[in-house]
Amino acid sequence: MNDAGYIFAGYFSTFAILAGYAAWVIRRKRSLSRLLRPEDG
Amino acid sequence: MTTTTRSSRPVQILGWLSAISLALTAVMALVISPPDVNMGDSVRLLYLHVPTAWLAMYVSFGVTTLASALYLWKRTRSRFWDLTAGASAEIGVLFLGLTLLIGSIWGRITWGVWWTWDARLTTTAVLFVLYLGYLAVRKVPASPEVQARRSAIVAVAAFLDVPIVHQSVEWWRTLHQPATIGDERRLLDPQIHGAMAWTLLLGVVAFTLLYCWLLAHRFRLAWLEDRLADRHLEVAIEERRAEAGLSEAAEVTS
Amino acid sequence: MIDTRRRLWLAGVIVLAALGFLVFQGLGNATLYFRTADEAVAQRAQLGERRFRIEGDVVDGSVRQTGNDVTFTLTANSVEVPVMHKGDPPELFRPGIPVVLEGRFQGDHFASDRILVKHSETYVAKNPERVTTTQP
Repeated sequence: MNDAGYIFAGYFSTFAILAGYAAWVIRRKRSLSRLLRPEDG
Repeated sequence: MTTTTRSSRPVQILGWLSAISLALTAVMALVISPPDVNMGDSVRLLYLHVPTAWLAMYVSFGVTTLASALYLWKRTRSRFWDLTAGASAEIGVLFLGLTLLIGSIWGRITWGVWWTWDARLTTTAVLFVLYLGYLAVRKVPASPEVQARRSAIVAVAAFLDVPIVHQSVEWWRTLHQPATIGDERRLLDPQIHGAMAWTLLLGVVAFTLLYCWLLAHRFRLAWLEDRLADRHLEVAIEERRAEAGLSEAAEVTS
Repeated sequence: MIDTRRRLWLAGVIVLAALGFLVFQGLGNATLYFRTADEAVAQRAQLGERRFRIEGDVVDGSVRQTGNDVTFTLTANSVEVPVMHKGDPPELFRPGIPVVLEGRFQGDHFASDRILVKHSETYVAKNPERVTTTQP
């Protein structure tokens, strides 16, 4: 494959950024719902 | 771990479906699909560039605009639309950032430059900055109603750039090629080979599923943030009331 | 509170400055990204030694590599312009393809220092017969 480095770098960084964002959202969601729960009833 | 911290069953299924379809897209794009006769293997970046661009510009920013309009319309006004608009715009900015990143790499290996100031690239950069600005406006402190209202107005205004980006390759001379799919003159005869077209379609489906899954989670997060802000406000009011009560009591006793 | 407000002002100023820069770039650059070879020849006198972008097809059989330079002929609407390019052409450069060059007129030729390879919106498989066997 020509330019394999560029192409793999593109795919790798895309999936890494998406996974990082998803992990951030889910982690923050969990910590917030833990914070809210005691008084939620 | 209780059920409240976990996502609901349909959202979980959506998550798995998007993960599987993204993996399939990567296999199709990197292994099975053929190189292009002119562009060679660099054509493989098409399968990320086009889906992220469509999802960002038309779906994410489209949902943001629609939700903002529904917020501005008195009969449908609710926090739900405001939170949806914000959640969708953030995902849109993420996708558009990826479009620019992949486009830049693709430009480097086909055109020979990372960036050039042609109309398509310039208007897309403007779109990116506009929605970054929208996300910043959402954070400017004010009462929740004022915050939501002015964000909605900014969102509707920012969307005006989307048709300009779309038409930029027709209105001006650009280095960027015109649309292959969705061009009204060649709607039934897109100039793309079968296996490439199927891979592109799969990519769009995969990124659409991912968008829906991300939106469900990001909306839930926005909702929790909203609840927490309300809670803080209540606590602050309670505290102030308690203080006032105390000082009143102190006055009475003295 | 003061700090958040100041930071938000700063963010606003940065966003506006970025937008201003982009619009300025856009007005100066993007609306007339390139002149076709025939237009450039027609406007030769006005253009003088100014830097601009020129577009056209690389004429088949005109490409000569000499040391660090490449010479070739650019054509658009049957008007031809001789080109001298300094440096290595990009990987996808070859005769017959449309290119955009950055540079200026110098005497009888266009002195280019950057070649941008245009590509079309058509995607054609390199080995179509290989593909049909692996197609799902």
